[in-house]
Amino acid sequence: MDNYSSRSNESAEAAVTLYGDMLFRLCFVMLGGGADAEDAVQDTMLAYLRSAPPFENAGHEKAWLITTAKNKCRDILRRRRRQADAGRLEETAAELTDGDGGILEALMSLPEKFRLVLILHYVEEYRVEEIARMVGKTPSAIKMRLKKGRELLREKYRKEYM
Amino acid sequence: MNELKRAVEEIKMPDEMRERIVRRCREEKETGSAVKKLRAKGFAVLAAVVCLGLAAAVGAAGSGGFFRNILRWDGAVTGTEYEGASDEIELTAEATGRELTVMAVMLEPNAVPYSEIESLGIESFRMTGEDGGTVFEGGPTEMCAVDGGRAEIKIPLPDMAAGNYTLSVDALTGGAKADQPLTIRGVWDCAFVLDMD
Repeated sequence: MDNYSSRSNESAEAAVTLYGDMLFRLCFVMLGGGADAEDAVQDTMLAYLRSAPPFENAGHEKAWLITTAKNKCRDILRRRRRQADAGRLEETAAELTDGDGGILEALMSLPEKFRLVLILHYVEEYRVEEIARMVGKTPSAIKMRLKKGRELLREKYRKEYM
Repeated sequence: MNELKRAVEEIKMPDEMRERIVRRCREEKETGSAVKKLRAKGFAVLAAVVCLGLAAAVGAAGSGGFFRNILRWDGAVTGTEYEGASDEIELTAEATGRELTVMAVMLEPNAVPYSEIESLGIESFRMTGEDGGTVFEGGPTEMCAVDGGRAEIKIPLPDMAAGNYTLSVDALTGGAKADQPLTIRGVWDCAFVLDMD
């Protein structure tokens, strides 16, 4: 078991190496931009160093990092809403895809609660029950979000990019 | 959905970003506090000129945090906040019975805005369990007197099982007589253990 008092630079560096891409793309999709995504990943890693609990296994560690990253993204989104930063997501997604449209742009145009469950289920391949635990919702609520998210994504993609 | 998976998996963390994050983690471990984010400096030019007593000495603010105007949708300035205070206030948390005591220590109590602050509270917080899931969210807490740059903030705990928790705080509130409260933003994560003995 790992714990905070013994958690070293090496374990944080190993976590960045192992989970960096996964955390970055989750934060990128949640926040729609590289700079804020970097902040969210950094805050997640600092929380990992400062206050992560003992982990039972690698799956527990990964789930903790995802949940913490999600919370950090929500903090940034809340701050951004206060700062009237609306409209930024779509712009960044368009920049990312060089303005030629695409499924990523369609994904980023969805509300955050749908983006999160879609990426966890279809990209990170978590089961509905696992996502429910991470997000703090019931499995049926997650199934509903997945269904609605798929519909919205399909609609958006067909309407604007096909 | 395969197309979605392929597109998202193409997003990779740039190497230089990875190096920056690893470097900050090293600094955190070595010094107990990460260096200020470079991005924050860019915002410093937005320093406020709002007539709030606590924010009046904007120019005297230290090199860490910075004041920021709160803008309404039409661009009108409606207030001021202080951002980037993570390394200027140290928070530690300790649970005793059904109460969490959060000790806030201002590392530069004689610098603006801390020299003006007479009371301190937590504006918003989140408690997460060992799986990272949110157990409890709340705020604002009661304002507590600041004495010698320190304040002891109490948070009543709901029914929670014994275990390891993290208190995450993203905003504090500083108060001074006859002034509007000043929101102080930062990122603080404090581990605490809830023991049922």
